[in-house]
Amino acid sequence: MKTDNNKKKKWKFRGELLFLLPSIIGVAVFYFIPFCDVLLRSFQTEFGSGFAGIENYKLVVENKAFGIAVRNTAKFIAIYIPALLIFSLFLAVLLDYLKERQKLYKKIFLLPMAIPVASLVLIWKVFFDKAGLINGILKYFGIAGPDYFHTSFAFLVLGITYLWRNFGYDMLLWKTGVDAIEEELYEAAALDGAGFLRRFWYITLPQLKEMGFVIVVISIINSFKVFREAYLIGGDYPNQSIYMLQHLFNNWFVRLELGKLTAAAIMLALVVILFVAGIEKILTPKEKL
Amino acid sequence: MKKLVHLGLLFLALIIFAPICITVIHSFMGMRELELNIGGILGSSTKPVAISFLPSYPTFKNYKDLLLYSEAFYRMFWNSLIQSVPTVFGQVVVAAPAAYVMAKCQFNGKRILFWIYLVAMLMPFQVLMVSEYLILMDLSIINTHLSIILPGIFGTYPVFILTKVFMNIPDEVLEAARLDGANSFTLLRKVVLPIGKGGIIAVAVLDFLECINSIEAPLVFLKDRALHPLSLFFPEISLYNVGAVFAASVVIMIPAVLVFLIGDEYLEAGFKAFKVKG
Amino acid sequence: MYGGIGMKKKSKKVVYTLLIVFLFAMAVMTIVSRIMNESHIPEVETQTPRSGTLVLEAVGRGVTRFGTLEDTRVEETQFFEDTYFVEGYFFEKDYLDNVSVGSMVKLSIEGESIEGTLVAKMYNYREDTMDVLISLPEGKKYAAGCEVDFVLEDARVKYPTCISRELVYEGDDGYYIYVLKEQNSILGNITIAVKTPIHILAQNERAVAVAEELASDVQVILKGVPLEDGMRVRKREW
Repeated sequence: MKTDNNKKKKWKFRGELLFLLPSIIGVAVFYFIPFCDVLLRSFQTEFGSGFAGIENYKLVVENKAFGIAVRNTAKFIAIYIPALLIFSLFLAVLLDYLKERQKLYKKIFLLPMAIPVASLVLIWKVFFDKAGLINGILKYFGIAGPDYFHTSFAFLVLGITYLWRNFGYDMLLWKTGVDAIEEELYEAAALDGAGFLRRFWYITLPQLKEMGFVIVVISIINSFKVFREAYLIGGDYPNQSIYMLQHLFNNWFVRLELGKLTAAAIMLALVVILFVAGIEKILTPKEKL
Repeated sequence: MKKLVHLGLLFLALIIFAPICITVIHSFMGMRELELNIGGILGSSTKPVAISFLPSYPTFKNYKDLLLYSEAFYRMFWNSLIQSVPTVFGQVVVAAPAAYVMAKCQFNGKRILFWIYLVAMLMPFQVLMVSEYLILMDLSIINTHLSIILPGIFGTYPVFILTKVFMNIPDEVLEAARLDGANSFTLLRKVVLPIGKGGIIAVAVLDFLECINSIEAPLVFLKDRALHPLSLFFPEISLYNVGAVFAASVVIMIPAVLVFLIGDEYLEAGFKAFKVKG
Repeated sequence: MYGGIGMKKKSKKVVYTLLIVFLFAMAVMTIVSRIMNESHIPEVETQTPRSGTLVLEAVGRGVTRFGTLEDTRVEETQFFEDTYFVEGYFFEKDYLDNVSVGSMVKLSIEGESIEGTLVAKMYNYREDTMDVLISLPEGKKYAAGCEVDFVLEDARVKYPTCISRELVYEGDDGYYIYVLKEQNSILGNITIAVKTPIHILAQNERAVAVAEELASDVQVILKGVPLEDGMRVRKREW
């Protein structure tokens, strides 16, 4: 690795750094400067430029809606991201085991990714409405189903939507990770008499670490995007069980409660950064980037 | 055993296809049949939903209503395209060179830059929305298509993915081209981009699917309803328009699925590059 | 190395073609819809329901009598001894709720048309009819015990919801009207005709009183264009 780096350093990069420039300017204007601005605002009184100290943060922490939204968002991430990762990894291993028709299955499982949110809203109503298809089937078995959208079952519906939409892509990424593992490793282990589970635990999983980081990052991004479904199904104020941070932020924005909004945004940003830094530490080997 | 696995996977496929098929089937049903089948969810009857697998009286009326007489639908449709296509195009143009530098060049502060990009990518839209709104206002492009396109172009997700893709281009290839006297620009154009083509197409497809689903930014930045994209269409579903909404759902799906079909194999190819390095 | 790409060039080509065809079709249809939008949606005129008084014909039947008639029109009841009058009832009591005593009633007694005066009315709970007494013009002799048909031509009745007769359709399962409804949907902000069943309380040749309470801003569509439930219409702007 080291010699590699030295060799690279001999190249002239000056010209190539220009390639970065448009991107850096754009990121600065639309992400970095706004972030600093938000940070600054979070310590200021609303509208004015007076210094407010941590007053805004105090307000946010004491806010009841914030508590609910944090709990829901955290619960969603804690339940459905692991569920998604495990389920898609399981499928990837299954596909690897099958060896046949992989291409077809991949295509099919990726399809939900392509279904626009707007197309999904109505059909979800057909499925999950109080008088919808699922309750119709439950009724057939003599079970009275709940009203999915207006009770805490909404959380489940949102989770199912998240899994439905994302498991294919995650599976594909896991699968490429699995494909990248060299066959010799398995063969050696097989010679040692390791069973399927042992091989999975000692060879497959460790080899998937780096891909795992990418997948976790993508899954987090996508978990923030379920807000879209939640919004289209429930509007600004959906059932309390799916009242996410994004709903709260949007509503604060509409009411121009910018102090609270920016303070909460900074807290969320901190949590996300710490979380990803932690994951990266666990999953990424030191010498890479 | 394998048969069992196939069976399980087929069941999963069924779960995926069910919503899509039901949408398509219902888009060909007339109003009376829709009322009979799904009146329960529209409040016009208390009967639970009953799904039939073929319309008994197939009709194109829903499509006729949607496609012949509705300016609003077309306006939203073209808004969606106007907002997504330039975004995707711009993203690739900006991100591909940047990702190449990130992947293949060493420079001071690279790690910090990478982290800034990573964090920018992970931030939910709402975190930055206040300041972004003010900046767009200063640029006086708020409430125009540009207010969606410009921030979209500089999204860092494509840089992140493409960096991963380009990292797997063997250094030897680049070096060989360099020795042949290629300058940075030709290197990018003649070597990096062709090799990373799969990854680039994959990113473009992901971006496109992302853009046409975008809700947060248009909701905040576009006050004017005439600029709203399809994703913001908020159906007040009633018996009288449910057929048209089904038809609209199908029509919206068509370009998304076609783009997906163009790119789905590259999605994998872009990442397969991981293997090359080994 | 980058396997898979280009393997299915043919099917990719089909997809590209489909995408281009789709976009092209959408472009063409956009223009077509602009043209169709205005010209192909029928224009309708509307009316709003009002509370109003219907002038109705109340039909009744009775028997001529001879004796003492009490006239309750004045504060102190007057008695007319040895006078002819008609004792009878109206078939539809609802019509008579607002009819005041003193109205003129047309009677036909043995083929002869006479005008009498309504002098008393009383609701008959047992028969669910409106029993009335009608005094006959003096100075004439009538056969007592004759069956008499009579008509009150201007029974003015107030109803909360009245609409013009031209708005009402008669179908197999009763009467209905078409109501204009605005809808914000995927089709844009459109107006449609919604079929609404009604029950008729009373009607004359010009107007109909409806049992359903329609809000005063409901726009009921005039007959003229063949309508269907849920059909798109445009309101004619004046």
